[in-house]
Amino acid sequence: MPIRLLDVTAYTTFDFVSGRAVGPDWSDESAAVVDVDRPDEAPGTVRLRMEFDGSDLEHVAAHADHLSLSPEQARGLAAELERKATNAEAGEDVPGGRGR
Amino acid sequence: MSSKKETWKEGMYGDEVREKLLEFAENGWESIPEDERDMWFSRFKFWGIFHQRSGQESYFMMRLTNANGQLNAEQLRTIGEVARDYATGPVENPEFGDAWIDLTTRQSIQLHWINLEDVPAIWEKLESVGVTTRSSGGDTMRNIVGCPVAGKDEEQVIETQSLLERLQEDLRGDDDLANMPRKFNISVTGCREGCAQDAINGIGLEPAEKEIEASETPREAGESEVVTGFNVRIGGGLGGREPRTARDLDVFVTRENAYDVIRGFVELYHEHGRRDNRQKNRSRFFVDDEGTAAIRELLQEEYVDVDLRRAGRNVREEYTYNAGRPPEAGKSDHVGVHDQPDGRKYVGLSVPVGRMTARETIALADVAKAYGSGEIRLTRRQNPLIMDVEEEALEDLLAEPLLETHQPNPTPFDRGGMACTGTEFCSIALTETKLRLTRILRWLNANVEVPDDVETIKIHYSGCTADCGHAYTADIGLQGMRAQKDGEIVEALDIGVGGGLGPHPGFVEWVSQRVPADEVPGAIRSLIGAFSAHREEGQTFREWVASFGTESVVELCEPTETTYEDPYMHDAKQTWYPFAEGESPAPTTVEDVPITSD
Repeated sequence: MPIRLLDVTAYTTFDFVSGRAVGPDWSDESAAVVDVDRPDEAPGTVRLRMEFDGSDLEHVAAHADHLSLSPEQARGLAAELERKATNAEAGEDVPGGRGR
Repeated sequence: MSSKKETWKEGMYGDEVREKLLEFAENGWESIPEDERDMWFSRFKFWGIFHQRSGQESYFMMRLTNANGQLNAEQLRTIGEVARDYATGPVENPEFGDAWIDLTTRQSIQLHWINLEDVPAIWEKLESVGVTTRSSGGDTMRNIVGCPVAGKDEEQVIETQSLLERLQEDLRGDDDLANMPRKFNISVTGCREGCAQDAINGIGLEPAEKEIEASETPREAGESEVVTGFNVRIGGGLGGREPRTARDLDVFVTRENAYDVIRGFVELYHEHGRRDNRQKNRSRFFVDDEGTAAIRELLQEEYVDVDLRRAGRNVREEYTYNAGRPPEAGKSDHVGVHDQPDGRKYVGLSVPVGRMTARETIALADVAKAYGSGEIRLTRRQNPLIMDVEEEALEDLLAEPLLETHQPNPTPFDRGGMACTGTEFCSIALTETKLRLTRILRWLNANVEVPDDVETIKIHYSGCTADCGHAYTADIGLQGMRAQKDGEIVEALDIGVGGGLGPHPGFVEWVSQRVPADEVPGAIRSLIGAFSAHREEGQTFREWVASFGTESVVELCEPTETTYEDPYMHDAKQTWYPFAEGESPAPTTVEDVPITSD
């Protein structure tokens, strides 16, 4: 069973999120770790990382995905998440723009 | 670009922090400006004063340093008295009550629930008997570890005591080297057992022999002699999902020039270690980046005057400490009654998760004085040793009530138990550790049989991936995680098997992820059952995992609920203290009375 690639501590953004890896004709359901940080090696950026538990994956090798976001993109994503959270709680779509 | 912590350190660090800390202590918790607390707490760590986690404001953990875990009875008694008088919180731990000490994996001691206002009095008491907290935390050289029975070990290859003392006094005491790029660990092994665990340190010395030409010795020209000294390894360490075993620097040092070479590498890392990236600036990553050949060359050119010799013959093949080898190979720990070369004995006690009450600590000091020389030594497995016991005193010592609680002949599970601090006090842990492992060990003792010839099953529990509990080097390693069970988020553990040190250091391989905490004893039972059923006679757990194969072990690891009950399954980080209900009283006065703000 592969070693986890992401640190998981109390400072990790989410240590448990339900997720699914999807391919053209397959999908693996898995618990996942999600983390957001400010990487020292890429000043001025925000890093969004995600890793599914290796023990849950059948169709894809264990790995972590890293997204590098500009501060503006990070704020856009946060705003979009905020809007969708409101929609989810309301059970309907509240009009709004997409993240930039 | 300097990180925030580098900027804070540049502003003030090392010895000068002490005066400021004393000033805050005199004026009380509230005198620390709220917007400066993170900065001061970061600086206080150099002096062994660590602010406890969120919800426990105004309470601190205090870490002591005593090179190689050596204490005399007066020192340990004083530490016990400090714990009794000052390490008391607003609530009790359900298992350990109030006022205790934690033995650490670097042969030292931690105290909790310390009020800042009490620090001056505590320092005065500790320092009056030669115990200090200086340089025990933060970005500095941590407590220096060695063979806990150095000088009194039948398996000693080379004397290390004088070197350890010089490293403690001159190297760690050098304020110019206080501000390292990151925490830095030094280890000196002098025995055939490897009990200083050199493989997981920033620099580790291992005993070795080398034939040296006469020009370098007092002998006649043309002659040579075999000299006992050390080989040097660098860049080992656990944690951060990227553990490393220390790499061979291909350097042999005599006892006489060992200090200079260690100092040279410390200065090299001090100057060249990265300060711009805290995520990648531990010494193990520095060695990854630079390579041992380049570091050796730089060390020779700029940091040491002696000519560096190539590595000699080491004795690693004989290492047995936490090596997962059978008892007949040698000691896997120092628990039990063992011979000293002078005819006396030392007695190693088992403290399963490293926690002793203040009362037990004082009793240990008294027992060590009554039956031995009074000397107590601490091991890297969170256990104390009573030194210099005469043969005729042994029977009475073994009958002491303290040794019924902390036994020299424990069960295999108790003997192998180690745990980090966990969410009880630690700000980065994900799960509670010490109380849970205490309960798990109790359940395993009562419900799981181990083959008669198996002396120990090493279960090490870390509350998160930082791995302060050394899960990576366990027979069965546990690391805190979170899982969903019956629709609720619960504390859970990743389970790994087959780690250990010794001749061939290696880390656990993971066999199950996010096992709900109440199913972990069942999982361990299945692992021990499989081990018992499939092992060859005489195999240890680590040897069995290596021969059976981790993939096969994965199939046989079966987490399940049992009669074990875990009353603290739910996310402890959501409460101010895992075992308390209601609101936190913190911050409080020294009498644990909440400080109310206008």
